[in-house]
Amino acid sequence: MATNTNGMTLADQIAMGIGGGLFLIGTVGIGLLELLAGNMNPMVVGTNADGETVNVIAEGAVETVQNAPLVPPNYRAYLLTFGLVILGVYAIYAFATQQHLYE
Amino acid sequence: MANTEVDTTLFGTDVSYEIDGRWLAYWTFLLRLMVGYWFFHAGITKIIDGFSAQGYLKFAADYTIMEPIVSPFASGIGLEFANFMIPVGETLIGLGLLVGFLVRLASFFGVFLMLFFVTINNGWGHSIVTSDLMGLLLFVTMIVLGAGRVWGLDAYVEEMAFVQNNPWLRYLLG
Repeated sequence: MATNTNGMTLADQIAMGIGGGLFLIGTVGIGLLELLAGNMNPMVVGTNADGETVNVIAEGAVETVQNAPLVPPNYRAYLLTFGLVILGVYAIYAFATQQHLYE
Repeated sequence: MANTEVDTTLFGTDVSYEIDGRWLAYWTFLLRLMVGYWFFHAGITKIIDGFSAQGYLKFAADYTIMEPIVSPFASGIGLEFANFMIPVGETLIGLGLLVGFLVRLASFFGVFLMLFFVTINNGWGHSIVTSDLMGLLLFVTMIVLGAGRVWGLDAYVEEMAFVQNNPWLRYLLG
């Protein structure tokens, strides 16, 4: 666990590449895409049957749609959650196998 | 300048730079106290004032990805467990960070709790990248930096013979 570390194991690569990668795609990556597409809100924003402006998960819940994200927010939540779970499993794996302990 | 050298490789690319170690240590300490107070306050006030997670678990989680996971905890013995563990967990995590003891272990559970706060998000009304997500990232930062070793108890505990003889404990300390 020294500052100077050069050996990157497969577990390191999976944690950083896939774990951190999914986390970044779910937050920054899709977030920037939504901005480019002109979606200022991760939710579907629309007008319901009573004429009220509401935020909902799915388009079917509103009569007229004002804002519809390219990627539903729960899909982004799955991405960042899976990413974090991979990082968490890596932490447990590193603990169990004493990875990098003597570097 | 009190320089500390970082010299490593990331996916085959050399990464080396110098950083002011004094400011790194100072800021690590400051962040630890801030995050610790945040969770300690959140937990201890729930213990003192009383707390029920029922509404949060029953309604706020609707239509979120955590709904199937938290719904068993929205009533009965599951709710009693949540009502005990959330305040006590927050308090212990915060206390651990404040005094710098078992910082990595405490921060691991901090990330675990924050993941629920991030994803049970009032129907995403507060967007995806929220202050809760920033809080989660701060706990990860505590783990990466091993923040308990800057003016924290972990610095002293790691010097003890018991830890020297069982170096795997450094994964929980630090």
